[in-house]
Amino acid sequence: MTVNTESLRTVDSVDEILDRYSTMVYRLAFARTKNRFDADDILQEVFMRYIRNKPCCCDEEHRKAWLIRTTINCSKTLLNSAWFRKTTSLNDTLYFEMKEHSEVYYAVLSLPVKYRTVIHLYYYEDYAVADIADLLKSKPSTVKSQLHRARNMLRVKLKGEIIDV
Amino acid sequence: MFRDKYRLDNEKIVPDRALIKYLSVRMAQTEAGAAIPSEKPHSRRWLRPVFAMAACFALLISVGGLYLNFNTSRDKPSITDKITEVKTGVTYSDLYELIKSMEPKKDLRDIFGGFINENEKATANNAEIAPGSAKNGSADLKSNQGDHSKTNTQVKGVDEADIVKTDGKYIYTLTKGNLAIIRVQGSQMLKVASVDCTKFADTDNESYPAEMYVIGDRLVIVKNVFDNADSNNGIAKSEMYVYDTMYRTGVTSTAVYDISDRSNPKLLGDPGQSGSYLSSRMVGKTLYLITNYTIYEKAKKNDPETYIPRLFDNGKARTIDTDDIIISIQPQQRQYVVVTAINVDEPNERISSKTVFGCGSTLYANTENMLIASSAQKSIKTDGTTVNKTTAGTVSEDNVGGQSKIAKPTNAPDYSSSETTRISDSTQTVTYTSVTNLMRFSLNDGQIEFAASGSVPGNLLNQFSMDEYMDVFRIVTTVNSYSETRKGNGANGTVTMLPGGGTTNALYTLNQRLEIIGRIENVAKDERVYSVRFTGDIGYFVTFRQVDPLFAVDLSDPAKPKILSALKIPGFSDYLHPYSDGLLFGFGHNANEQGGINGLKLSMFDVSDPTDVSEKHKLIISDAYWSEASYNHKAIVVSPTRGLIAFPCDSRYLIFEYSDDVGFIKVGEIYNDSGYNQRGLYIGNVFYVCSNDRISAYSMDGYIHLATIMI
Repeated sequence: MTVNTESLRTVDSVDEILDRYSTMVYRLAFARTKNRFDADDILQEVFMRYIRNKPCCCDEEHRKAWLIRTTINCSKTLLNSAWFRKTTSLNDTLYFEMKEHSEVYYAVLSLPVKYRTVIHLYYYEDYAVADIADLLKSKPSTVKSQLHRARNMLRVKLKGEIIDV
Repeated sequence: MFRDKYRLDNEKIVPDRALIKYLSVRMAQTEAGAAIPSEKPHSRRWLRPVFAMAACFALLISVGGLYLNFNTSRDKPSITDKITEVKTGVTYSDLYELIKSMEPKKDLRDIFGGFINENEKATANNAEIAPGSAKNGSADLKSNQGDHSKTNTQVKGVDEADIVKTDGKYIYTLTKGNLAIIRVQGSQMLKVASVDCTKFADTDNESYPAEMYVIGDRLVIVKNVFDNADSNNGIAKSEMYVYDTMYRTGVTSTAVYDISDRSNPKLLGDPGQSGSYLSSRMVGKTLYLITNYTIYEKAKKNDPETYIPRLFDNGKARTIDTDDIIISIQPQQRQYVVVTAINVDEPNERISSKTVFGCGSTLYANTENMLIASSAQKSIKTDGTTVNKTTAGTVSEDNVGGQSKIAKPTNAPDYSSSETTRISDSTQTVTYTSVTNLMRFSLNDGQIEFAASGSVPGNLLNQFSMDEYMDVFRIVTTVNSYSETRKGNGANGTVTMLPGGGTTNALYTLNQRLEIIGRIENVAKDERVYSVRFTGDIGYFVTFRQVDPLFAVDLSDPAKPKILSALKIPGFSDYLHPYSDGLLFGFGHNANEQGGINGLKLSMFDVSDPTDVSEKHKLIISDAYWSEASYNHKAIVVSPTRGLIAFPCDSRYLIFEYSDDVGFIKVGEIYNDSGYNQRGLYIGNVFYVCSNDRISAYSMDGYIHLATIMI
């Protein structure tokens, strides 16, 4: 399919970008908001921002980082809103999402949002502490201590069943 | 171990496939600069038990609305039942003074800077509403007697633009900036012409074709033009998005082709005008083109181009004549609506043009009249010690300017009114109500005249919310209102939301001077309008919260409209189509008892006795998530003569047959790999499904695939 008019704007097609990153954005949004409705909304917002702003991403790593940062920012706005704090009853939608009960995922979601975020980026996205600090615009030492505390909380929650946290 | 488990668990967290599809459409359209579908698929947010929080939610909506307000309204300061003064014969220097007086003290950039995101959203929404509303989908009730389908329009005799058109011998498609003409004969399809429409005249400016018309040997494309000269001039790429609204304003152009030789379309002319594309209509061979033009730059006295909308004919620009500029009422924002008429046989000789201060978001037109509606907000202030939101003594009224509302802190809505009564004399109660401002133009076969302006409470849903019959305009609105008290001033002031207010629905009848002559108010509290359709003396509208009341309204006496019946069934219709005498087709969503939405729903209502409307047949498509037909009537084909209903649904295209005795039967389900911009049409006994890059032909006996052509 040769389309001259679109070559002016971006090399990657919308579908390619969605294919590659929608699941990543959705999972991070879900880990932060703990429900599919908001994750759906954030997913849309992040990609619409992407298409409107066209951040110049010279490579995939930058693109990925931009998307992660925007996901965090979008969900931050939502999490801070009074509406969200008052209306979200969480676990009912999670059951819907995770057909069977999963201890690990539940344990992670029971952590405060900042801990959930570092755990997700560290264990799921495989980012190093320094990269996470970059993404979250905080110091590596802060990230390190957040990870440490999050792990301790997970150990308690998982009652030592999974000890390698 | 933990890592593996966490990853495994994450595998189950996947976004909805249909949502991704939908998002891809929105992104592609945004990228192409085309109109964006105005609604997202109905989010299952409904499932969330938020009814207790409804008030809080309403607050959010109203805050969202104010950005829109800031951007688009303020064209009329107050709701008024009397005809407004119309001032003509102004001079450019009068206009300069007027526009100068409306310029913000601060540089607009600073103001926009803070909330550019929301602002941009509002603009986007606004732009969406317009083409969305202009779009009307399937075959018209009376016009599909022939052997091929036509674009579904609201009013007989008034054509609406779309991305796919057919004249029975050819299919015309407008995708990815490209016009394709395909000769069709049954299963045989041959692309005879392909035209790149992304250039504007001989300039470097990019243009994105939005929609088109085909009439006889003329093909008219309406396109948005983006001025590259401006965008490269001093504005860094990174800043581009801040200027997006400005960038978006641009110029709307047409391209009129002579297609008497289908294989060689010849450009006859490309008349254009300032502003972003709102909508268009074609009556006979006259094209009416409507744009919104906002001035962002500072006006320069000696340069009328900085404050007067321009017309582009024969590659030359000229500012609109002062005779054609109308100041309808004290304008408050530097915005114009530009309406022009173009004869498609002689595209270089514009028939007429008019511009009015104000803006438009929704357009209704029949062969005689055009109504341009815009939403605004009215506030009624009550000063003094009597703090009661229902106080009759209205002290002052004004339209709420965006900025003053932006300063308003959001509050928890659960303060009791008793608390506010102890607040002393410095307290002010303000009641905000949504209003729709209306402008009427008489079309006179192209000799457009500004005829009247007026306003009704509430907001419109879309173009179907308005109608004219026997010289009476009928309008259905959803009215949102809330009250608050303000104590003290400035930063130390407090604002308290009062209980009460909320959402109701209303129907108004108006005369030619746009004065309200009849009304039904306070219908279906806490619900909103989902669809409207008028046929002759009867109006139908659907509201929704948990079940779908379909209201039938008798309008035979415009001064005394009365509700004849209200049918309550689960779900709601997004689109209503008069199917045949006594039958009304409804396309919408199904919902369970709690108001949770699951699947699409087709309904056939028996309206032969409007006092006793019943749902004669229904069909629920439970595995469906969204359909473009929910918000764009041009995406659906409804043909009573063939008993055919067809529409895109998720990444499929569905075809149903309807008959009186058995109801709806699914006859075709077509999967399309590149499933967006899907339109269906039929010619003879062949059904064609058009997507963004291909057309597929199916035999209407059994919907067997015959052929596919890439476009």
